[in-house]
Amino acid sequence: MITKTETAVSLSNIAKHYGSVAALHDFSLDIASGELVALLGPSGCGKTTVLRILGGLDLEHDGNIVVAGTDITGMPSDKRNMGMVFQAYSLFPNMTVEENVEYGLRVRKVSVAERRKRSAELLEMVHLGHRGKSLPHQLSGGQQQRVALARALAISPKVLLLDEPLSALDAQVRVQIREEIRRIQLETGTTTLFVTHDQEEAMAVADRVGVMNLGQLEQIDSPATLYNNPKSPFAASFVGITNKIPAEIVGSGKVKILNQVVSVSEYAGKMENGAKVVALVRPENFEMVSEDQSGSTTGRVVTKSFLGPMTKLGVELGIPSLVSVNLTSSDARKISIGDSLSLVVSSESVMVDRV
Amino acid sequence: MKRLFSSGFKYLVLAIALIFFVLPVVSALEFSLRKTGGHGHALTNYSWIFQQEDFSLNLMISLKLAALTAAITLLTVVPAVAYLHIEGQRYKRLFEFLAILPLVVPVVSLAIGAQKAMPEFIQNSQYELAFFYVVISIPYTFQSLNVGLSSIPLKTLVEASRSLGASFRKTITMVILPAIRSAVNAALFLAITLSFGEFTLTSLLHWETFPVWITRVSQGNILGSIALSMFSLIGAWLLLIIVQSAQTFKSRSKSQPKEAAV
Ligand SMILES: Nc1ncnc2c1ncn2[C@@H]1O[C@H](COP(=O)(O)OP(=O)(O)O)[C@@H](O)[C@H]1O
Ligand SMILES: [Mg+2]
Repeated sequence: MITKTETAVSLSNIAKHYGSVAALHDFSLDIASGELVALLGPSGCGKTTVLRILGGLDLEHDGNIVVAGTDITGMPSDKRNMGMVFQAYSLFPNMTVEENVEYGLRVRKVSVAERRKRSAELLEMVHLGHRGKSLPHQLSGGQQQRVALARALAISPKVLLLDEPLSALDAQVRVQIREEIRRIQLETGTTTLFVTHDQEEAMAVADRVGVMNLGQLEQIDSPATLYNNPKSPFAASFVGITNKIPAEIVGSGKVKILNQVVSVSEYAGKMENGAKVVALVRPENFEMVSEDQSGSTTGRVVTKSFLGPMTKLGVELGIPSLVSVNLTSSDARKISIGDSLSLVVSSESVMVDRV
Repeated sequence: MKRLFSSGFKYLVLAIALIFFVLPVVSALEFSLRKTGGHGHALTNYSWIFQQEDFSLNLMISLKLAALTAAITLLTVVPAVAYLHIEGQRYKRLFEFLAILPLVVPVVSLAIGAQKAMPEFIQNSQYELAFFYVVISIPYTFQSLNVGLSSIPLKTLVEASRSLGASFRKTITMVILPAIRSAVNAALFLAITLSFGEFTLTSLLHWETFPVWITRVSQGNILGSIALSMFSLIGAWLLLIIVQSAQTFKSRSKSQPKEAAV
């Protein structure tokens, strides 16, 4: 049974500079044993840098790394016993699939019989048991990444490091393989750090998601907590809040959005009365009301897309950008493009950000 | 789109090219088979080659030098270019420029200057030539390796191998060299042919190798010298064919029929 209590990996105060550019500063992260942590953030925020530093591919940095109670700061990559899966295809082109998976055991001088057995097991686990004798270029992108995963797991790594392993694959394969990664990770109980810029991917696979911005960890929480309580406008914008509506602070803790006054959520920081702000409102936090309801705003429906149980509308509300509104498809059935629609913000509080 | 060349024109170009390249070779071959003075053809000029006393001696010297040149290239130039790609990306331009220098520096200065830089015991041995041949072939070997290394995701492969527990040396021999095998073969082939044909520098330093010897003995026998040239040419072709077929054989024995991909 896997217990997620003890700390497997502890990064403290990691900093990394490229010349005068700080790729990472004051980055600290603990990962529990058997846990899958996803690092989420836009391109260039330092995700790969964290992964490379933990994997020992980049030894020039400040701060300490402790894995399973041992300080491994400065230890080169080949001594760390961490499996890595890269964004780009990284299989050794001249070796068969089987030889690729066995490589880590071969350099550890494991006997032929034993490594054959292990590679067969792992290839079975990623559903490629029949492709052991193929060469990498004979496999699809998804298959290649599955072999890369098997190869990384063959050495029974202390930590598994995945750097946007799915970003080169097409959408359908991406979902399929991320589920496989999660299944295998749970099965083997491997402590894992998974880097991605895809919010949905991070939420789908991780025990905890860490949102990164400009070389720092903004927030790390379970997917549900992160979604419901983003602690900064940046984190909020990264977990599905798309509407930025011009608003104004009116009295302490109150904000006027469109024709309505609602509370400001506690994380927004102090702002003065009359300050111009933007309110961040989720598409699902609008409610369709009758035109004469107080506080409602009426606008014109410009786009409509059916998403199964939900329907997404784009509504002109007299502000520069279209407001994106999700309604249940049964509510939205009667609405057509060109209709006028009255809305209120249904959530008790909203997050605001400086303009 | 309109086709640029009609197929008739293509064949004409091909024919002209063939005449241009094949005709001199065929003529030389015919010439080399003529009997001295009189009419008719025979292998006399070829048997003359083998009757020359230092023939096999000099052939052996040149073969040894070629092998040594290839070995030095493999042990120094290949890892150096690989290292340049992995760690020294920002110096790549500089080294690309430096690698051209052996073509630009006059052979005389190279010969005298570089010889002075070598330790005494190497200066006194004919094997010093192998080091010169390595330098002379660098503009070609460097380029070939450069192209080969650029065609693979080198950095990722190295990092994958290192993270799996391999040392840098193991990574080079087990992963990188096999991945760029054809570029390495091409570089070695270039080093071998260049060293096998080098004349100017060798004669400047007063060593006798196969090409120097050919020039000397052929001064007394025109037909014999042509036979010698044909002999070298055919020898080089044979070498090329052997290297190529060994390579195709190896890669064919490894590949497999492609199956449906997910
Ligand atoms: N080798 C490098 N030289 C200079 N700057 C770099 C290098 N690698 C990364 N950076 C910079 O460090 C920052 C973080 O990069 P990275 O960790 O790759 O981001 P991410 O993986 O989140 O996209 C970026 O601003 C990037 O430009
Ligand atoms: Mg990255």
